[in-house]
Amino acid sequence: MLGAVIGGPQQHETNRKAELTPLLSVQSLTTEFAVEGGVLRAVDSVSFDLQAGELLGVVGESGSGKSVTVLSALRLIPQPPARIRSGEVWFGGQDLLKLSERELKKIRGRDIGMIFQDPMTSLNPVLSIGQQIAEVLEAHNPELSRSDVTERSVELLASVGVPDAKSRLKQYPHEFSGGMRQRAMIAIAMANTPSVLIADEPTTALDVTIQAQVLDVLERSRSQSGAATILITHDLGLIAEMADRVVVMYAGRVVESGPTDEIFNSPQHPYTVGLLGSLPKLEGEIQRLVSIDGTPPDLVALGAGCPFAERCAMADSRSICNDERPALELVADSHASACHFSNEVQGFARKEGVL
Amino acid sequence: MLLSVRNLEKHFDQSKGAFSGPASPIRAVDGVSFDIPRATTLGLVGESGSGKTTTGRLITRLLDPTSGSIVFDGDEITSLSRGELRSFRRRMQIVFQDPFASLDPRMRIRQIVEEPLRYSTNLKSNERRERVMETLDVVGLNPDHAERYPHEFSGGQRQRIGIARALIVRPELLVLDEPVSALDVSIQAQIVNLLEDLQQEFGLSYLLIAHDLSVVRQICDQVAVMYLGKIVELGARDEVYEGPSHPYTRALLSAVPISNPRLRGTRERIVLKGDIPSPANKPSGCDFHTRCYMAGDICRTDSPALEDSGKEGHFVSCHFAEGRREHIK
Repeated sequence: MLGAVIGGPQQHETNRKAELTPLLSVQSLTTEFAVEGGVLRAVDSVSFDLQAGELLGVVGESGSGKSVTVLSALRLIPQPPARIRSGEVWFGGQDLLKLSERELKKIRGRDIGMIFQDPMTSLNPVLSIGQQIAEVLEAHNPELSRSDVTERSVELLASVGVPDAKSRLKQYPHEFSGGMRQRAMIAIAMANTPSVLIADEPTTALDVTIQAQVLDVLERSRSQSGAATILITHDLGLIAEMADRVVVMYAGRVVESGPTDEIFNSPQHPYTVGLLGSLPKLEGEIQRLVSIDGTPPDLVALGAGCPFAERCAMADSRSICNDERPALELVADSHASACHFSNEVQGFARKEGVL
Repeated sequence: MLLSVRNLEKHFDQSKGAFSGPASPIRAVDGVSFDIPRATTLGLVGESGSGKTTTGRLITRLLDPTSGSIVFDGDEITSLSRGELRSFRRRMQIVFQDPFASLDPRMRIRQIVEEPLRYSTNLKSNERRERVMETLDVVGLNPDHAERYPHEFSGGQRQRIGIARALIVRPELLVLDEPVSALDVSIQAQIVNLLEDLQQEFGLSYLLIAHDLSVVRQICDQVAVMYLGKIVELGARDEVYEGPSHPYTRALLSAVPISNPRLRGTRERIVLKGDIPSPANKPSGCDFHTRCYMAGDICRTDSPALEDSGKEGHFVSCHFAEGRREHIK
């Protein structure tokens, strides 16, 4: 259609399409848990796109739904107790939520690699590191001979900076230190050169010098393979350092999304302002932290209004904030905010000394 | 000086297996010295296994030091007996990291906060009750919640309960062992602000044990960086943050993620090799030489002393620290 209207050459149109079609697209995803006293909506109509080659940061505090979102998108969340109520997850022309378990297994581990926070619980303690790398290689490449698999495994482990890779393949997870285990996880995730990498708090449990090593390895693997990445983290510093675009989650919803520079330097949601103000810094003048009062809401007993209203210094008992849930709307090119008063946020941020 | 610590050491004996010979002790804290003036904060930073938590426990005498001296407000308390320590216990309290593990789930908040009063004061029951309500209010908890149990509170509120319990006996020194590292960033900021307010209001001194260098910069007057049981750099906050002199301190600072995407590329990340060695099997010479990007021959054989860097109160233990080079030749 577009091509016909503009009347441009065929080639031009395909290029445009490639630019516009996201690699992975999550649409109105909603996941609930049945809990004592009602239904907990952990993820509430979450939508976002992942473009080829980019690093998308998903940031939020505990209970904001950031992990449940990606676990639901890949159907890795145990159902029950969870229930994916609605939504679509488009990848390679297919809706992942409609695929059979068998079809989905072909995609996970081959096209989409995953790294989780705690390698001690996501690696199998009774299989050697080598067996676990071999497993993902063999599952998706039945044509590989045993020696091919071994050769590739050594290569992979060496590529993530594990010294003496050949002999360490025979070791078990408990014989690896925390940083080495996380490297092994990266090797497994990258084994089939996926086009999408999902990293859920990949360095949270690690000491800062080990975190630096793992980030280094992660960045190198990413730049070699060009995999688009979703980085889930509570650490705004990692987002500032690595992300191209950011999705900010609160109480199971996306409250703001946009390019990283805009999120940090012209935030459009008061929660984002609070997060930025809460962050102690290593440079510049030391000033009192701008904290957000109160605690996140009980997701079982959410009212009709904005879930952040109770803690919001801008809401100031304005009735619309308590009565009506704000929709996520574009406030600038590719920058969206779910706030009734997003046009006031800049002024608020300046008043609070955050900008 | 409220607290003076000199050459503090703590060795743990390793349990010996039936077939192994005598094992050498683990030197968890290996000659640590520092001072905390009244109403100031010293930050003790380091990675897991650096000995920072053990140091906090030694100072509050929850652990007995192997050697060294701890002087609290002019009194030597290093080898006081349990009975003799009683009057000092009230004056120094500890707040633990994990607000989920450090509160007895079967006790009401009122009982948890009141408990230290029973042991260290002769207050009557109604006086104790009054003090509990007052303290809950001071730490920002609703006194109406005094009859509730810990599980009814969020992580941040539980940390406030832990602070109230420490504060109720009106101590002079608080040892804060990773008080905010288990908390979300918005809650962390609330607790950091509370700690700053309490220090202002009551003239408290803090020993803040933390791995987060940004939090330490926010709160502390002095910083001590620990590695394998030793302090490798010690100085006033701005001296250490603006002019870190030990290669380990530099690496730590460089590894902290930036706070704004506009700072990308302004901080070069120094990636250290390998893991922190086991304190049971320390390297020869300088403890840090196995991971150091500056190490020379002398580092493999000679352990550097913690020496004045030339700036007052800024100490560094590195053969190659600024102004030290001619000293080697």
